[in-house]
Amino acid sequence: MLVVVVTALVSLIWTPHPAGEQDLDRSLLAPGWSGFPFGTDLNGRDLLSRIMVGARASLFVGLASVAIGGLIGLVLGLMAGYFGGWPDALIMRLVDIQLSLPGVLLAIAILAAIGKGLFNVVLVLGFVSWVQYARLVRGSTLATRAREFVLGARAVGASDARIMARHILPNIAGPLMVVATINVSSNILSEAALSYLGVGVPLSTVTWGGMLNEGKQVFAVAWWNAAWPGLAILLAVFGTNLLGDGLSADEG
Amino acid sequence: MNRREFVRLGALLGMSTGISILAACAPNAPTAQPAATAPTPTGTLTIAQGVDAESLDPYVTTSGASKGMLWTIYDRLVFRDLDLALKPGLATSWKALDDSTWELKLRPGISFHNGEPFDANAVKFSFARYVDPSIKNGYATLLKPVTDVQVIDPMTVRVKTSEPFAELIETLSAYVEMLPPKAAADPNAVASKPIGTGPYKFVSWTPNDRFVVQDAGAHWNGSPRMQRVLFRPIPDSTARINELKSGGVDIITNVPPLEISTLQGAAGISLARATNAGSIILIPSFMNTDVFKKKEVRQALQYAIDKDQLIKVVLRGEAVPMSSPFPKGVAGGYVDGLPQYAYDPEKAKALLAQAGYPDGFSFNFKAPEGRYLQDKAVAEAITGQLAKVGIKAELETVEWSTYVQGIVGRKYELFLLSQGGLQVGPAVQTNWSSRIKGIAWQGYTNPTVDGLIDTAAKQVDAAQRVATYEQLMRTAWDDSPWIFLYHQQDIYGVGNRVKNFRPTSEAIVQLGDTQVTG
Repeated sequence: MLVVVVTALVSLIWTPHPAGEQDLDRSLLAPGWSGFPFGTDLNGRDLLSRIMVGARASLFVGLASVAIGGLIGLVLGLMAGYFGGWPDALIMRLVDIQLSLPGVLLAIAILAAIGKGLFNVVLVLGFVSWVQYARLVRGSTLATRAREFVLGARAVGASDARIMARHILPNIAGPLMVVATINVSSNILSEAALSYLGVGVPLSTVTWGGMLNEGKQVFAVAWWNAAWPGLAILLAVFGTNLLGDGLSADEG
Repeated sequence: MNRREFVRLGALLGMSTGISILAACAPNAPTAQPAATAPTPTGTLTIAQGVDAESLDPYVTTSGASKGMLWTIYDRLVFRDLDLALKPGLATSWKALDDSTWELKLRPGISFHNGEPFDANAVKFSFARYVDPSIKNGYATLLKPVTDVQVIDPMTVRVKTSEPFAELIETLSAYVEMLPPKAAADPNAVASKPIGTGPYKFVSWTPNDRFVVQDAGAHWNGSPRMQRVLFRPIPDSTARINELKSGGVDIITNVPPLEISTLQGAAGISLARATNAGSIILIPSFMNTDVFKKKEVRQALQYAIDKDQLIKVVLRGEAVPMSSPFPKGVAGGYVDGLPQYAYDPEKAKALLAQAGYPDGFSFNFKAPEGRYLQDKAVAEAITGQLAKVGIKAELETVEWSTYVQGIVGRKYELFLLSQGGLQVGPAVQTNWSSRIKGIAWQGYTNPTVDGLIDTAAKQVDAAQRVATYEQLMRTAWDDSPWIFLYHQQDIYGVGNRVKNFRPTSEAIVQLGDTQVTG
């Protein structure tokens, strides 16, 4: 995971070649060729540079969509769990509705409607993933709000907002972080899937999913075009999951 | 937009892209086969294409894939053989009686698969149905000049036109299939159980699975060679290739150049190629930009794009650079010896400076993805080449149906498309005439071009018309309403059971003398 972060950061200031630079004279060079350690794609672009730049999109989507989904889920989950009653019923029905729709399918449908774009992908993935947070937060809030320190705070006249922010939130932050971390990896994967299907981001944005798609088309003559982005996605997802497992173990 | 309108829109664009794909050719039965060697039909031939038919109504479908399927069942009055020569079909002869009348003699003794006789009434009925607004035929405008079809006797019709209709015969060879008047009175019947006079008759169609026809007995153009023919849609190219390798299908269409290597060395499988009659070009908008209004800019683009390298690298050699607006063999559309736009970035820069853009300019560039060979990679490579002369193209690929709407709505600044084809008239009318303002027209206005297009459309004498079109090609080649790129190679995979399969330049599978063994 750290490798991915560092790569993304490095790509901001340096790549071996400009990621968009084409040269048809060096089409589909094999890895190891001097100057192009990962080889080149059909249009003669350096794959290493593109993998590095692609890390940005993956990280950005992974983190930003989790932030959006997490925020929505957190607020709604807190309200549902804390207030109970009709807000709870309403929010949980929304959750049920959302859960009945497959996430990636919904994302494709929304993207088809609102158009391509990295920011749109982030929004869409955020909106389709809030449910998990909402359920988690609601459950934890239900368990926490009956505990003595919450009752104590309420007894001394603390406002609902203060109780939620100062007393309940810190107590549910742990499990939330674990879910969020694991979701980073699943959202990276979703972004790759969307880009692979060609509904994700415009051509000018380099993504691993998009590279994988291009790689598939030249697979018969240049397998490495598909191998690198595949490996990159694997590493990023695996790394994030390990991080999530680590956090989860600490939590336990 | 409902589905129906949508299909129609696709149809219209199909027409603009295509007259290429469409304008035809091809007999639906073996050509000029000596009767003595006519064999008894044997075996089942299975063909896998990338897409299924949109409909079984021949006046509703547009894609080359569906034409290939339906032309096993239907005949036309005139057709083009595999060498693109016009041949008598259900009409045995024709002549222009005067400027607004064509007389056609029909082939006697032909009946439809349901027993209805083919005669002048069938022709009259088919013409009327072709332009019937309720059918929503995207190509209806092709027969727009026709005002009346007169039945002179059962085997003679006279086609009256509002003005001289020079290319009536060519137009009939493209898309005007002959339908049975009684059975085809109900549009639903046409779409569910097609009945024609062709060498094969309809058996069944399961959309997105299979389309089956079977031997219909003796045919005027040589009898069927197979007992059954199956068409299966398999969208994924790798899946198509694997089906061919496993023997599940006999012929596959649209083998991507980059996957050819997976077929080479596979036992008994051969490749067949045909240079597509469509011209892959860039069309600049003369409405949404000012830069492309300057001829120097358009010519600069011609010089700035290295077509040879695009073909060699991105298309793996599977294309032929354009040397005239239409491919070789198209009378009037192909002119030998035009000065070529060889790759010359310095000249491009000089032309840009001359036009007042010494530092280049930027524009939005649209391309489809998965419609033509390597279209996205080609567009990306063009973007890279233009960058070298200072032109910044912001490329976006657009899903096909949206793409069509953008073109018809004249929303783009520059886009990649296949035009051209075998019939010059409709293609230049839809693209270049500021009087007709056809569906692919993007604001190009040149009085000389307009005049030549109008003149040619009324020249019934073929030699005169060809001369006018050649003059038009010289003007257009220099004036560059299109940025000329290449004709792509259509690649077919053919299994070892198949004999005598010949692909055509129209990307429409035609059985011709094709046979299967074993």
